[in-house]
Amino acid sequence: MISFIEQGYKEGTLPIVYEEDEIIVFLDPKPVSPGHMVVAPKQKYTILEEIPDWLMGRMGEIANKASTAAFETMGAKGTNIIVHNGIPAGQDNNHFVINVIPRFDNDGQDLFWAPKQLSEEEMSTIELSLKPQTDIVGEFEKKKPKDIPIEDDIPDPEELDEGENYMLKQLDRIP
Amino acid sequence: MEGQPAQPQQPTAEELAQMSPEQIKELQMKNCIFCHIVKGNVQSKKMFEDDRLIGVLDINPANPGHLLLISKEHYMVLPQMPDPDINHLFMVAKGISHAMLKGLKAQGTNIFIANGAQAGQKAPHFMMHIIPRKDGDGLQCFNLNRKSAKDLLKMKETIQPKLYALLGKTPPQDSVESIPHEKPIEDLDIPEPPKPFRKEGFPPLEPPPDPIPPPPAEIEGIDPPPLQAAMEPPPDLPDVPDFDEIAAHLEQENPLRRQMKDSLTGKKDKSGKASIPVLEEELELPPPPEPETEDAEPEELPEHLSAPEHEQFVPQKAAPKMAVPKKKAVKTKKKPKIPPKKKAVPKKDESANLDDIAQVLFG
Repeated sequence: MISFIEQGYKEGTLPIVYEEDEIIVFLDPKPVSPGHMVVAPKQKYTILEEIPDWLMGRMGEIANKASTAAFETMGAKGTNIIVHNGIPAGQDNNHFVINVIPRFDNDGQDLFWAPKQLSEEEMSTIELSLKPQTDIVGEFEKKKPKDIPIEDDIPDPEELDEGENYMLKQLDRIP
Repeated sequence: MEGQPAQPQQPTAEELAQMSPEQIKELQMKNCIFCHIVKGNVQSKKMFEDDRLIGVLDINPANPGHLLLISKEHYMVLPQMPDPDINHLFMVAKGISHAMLKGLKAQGTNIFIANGAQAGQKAPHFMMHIIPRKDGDGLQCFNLNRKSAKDLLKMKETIQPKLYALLGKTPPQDSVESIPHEKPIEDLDIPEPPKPFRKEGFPPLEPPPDPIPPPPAEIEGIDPPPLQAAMEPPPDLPDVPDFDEIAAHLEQENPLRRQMKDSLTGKKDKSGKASIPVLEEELELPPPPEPETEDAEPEELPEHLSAPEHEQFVPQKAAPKMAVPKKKAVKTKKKPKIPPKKKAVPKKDESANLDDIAQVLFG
């Protein structure tokens, strides 16, 4: 399934604000507030787990710069950076994105949540279940340098026609 | 969200204006609860610790497992953080989100950053919220209320140069109508041919000489070096000894030496005896015939028997002529005595080996 981002990028209908090797930043066609930007990787990743570590870091840096740009140019009072990872989290489309939303007075968007009161038991169970997993978080994947393309003049024998294929020719040789 | 403790002493406005930025910072850190959490003065449930970040469970969470990623340094807003720290922060956030999915069996996560009070920032210390989500948990706050877009091109034109400037790059000159993926291929840069490498300190390479060199011009005013001086032997060599003097000296000491010399050169001895000193015991030849009567007989032998080139051995007659230089003759007489001894030795060894081998094999 092609996402609207990929399609829009190919057709050129996306209002791209910034483009890099693997990341694009564009203005959301259905914004929450004026200046709502979307930081997306060019390749389609569905969820956060699929994205390599270094790409996530780079997207975060760009999201930060986008938020400062919006803050300074649009005159926003604040910015939000939100990631929806998964359908229960509110992910709208199947292309992973980072939303950068500048905030103004009377947006119509309240990002407040009602804090819940949890008992000690629940907190301890959470702690016990989560702690061993977070201990593993440490080493991150780094960006691999691009392979240098080597141009060989030697043709692949499988691609040659029967008349040219030297591997087949040698079978016809009579010793 | 968190009830702040009672602040005993607050500086007045005058004192604030007079304080240096460092002192203001210290004051901020005093009042900031999260800085205390980082230091460990306040009890907290630490889930994750790093050299620049701390992960703490929120006391009043939106969902059980709500984690706060706090920076150890006191930053108020995300733009204050340097870029490598932001990179690290997002990578850690990804890892923690994955840990939540595994550990808490969540079905989704929300990552939330608030810069500014209007955005929902409640504490003066920067933090990132990571909230695990499950189906039907009832959180509606993260669902975005989308509206229709207005004046997207205008906004793009205002934001684009600023964003490129912030990231340190120049914006492209293409207009909106051009399709991005159909950019022209850049012209191939043909590299310059490699220059001849020359290490520093060496004189520059001279161009190669012509295949047919021009004839040398006559040099006037310089005389060629004298030949005699070139032919003279160098003075360092030792004096060549005079061999004739040494030979005369040796002859005086040893008279036999003179006789051998004369016999080899063909000179006859005045005494009439054979000049070659040969012992009669070594000879096994038959007694020689009478020298007077048999002088003619050797001449009358039939041709097939006679050996005209070689004269029969007559010890009393003159020795056969030998046109051989002195030194070699001396050496050849001595040599035949030595080699037979050498030949005898290996033969004995070979026979001994064979006997041993035979014993080993057969018995």
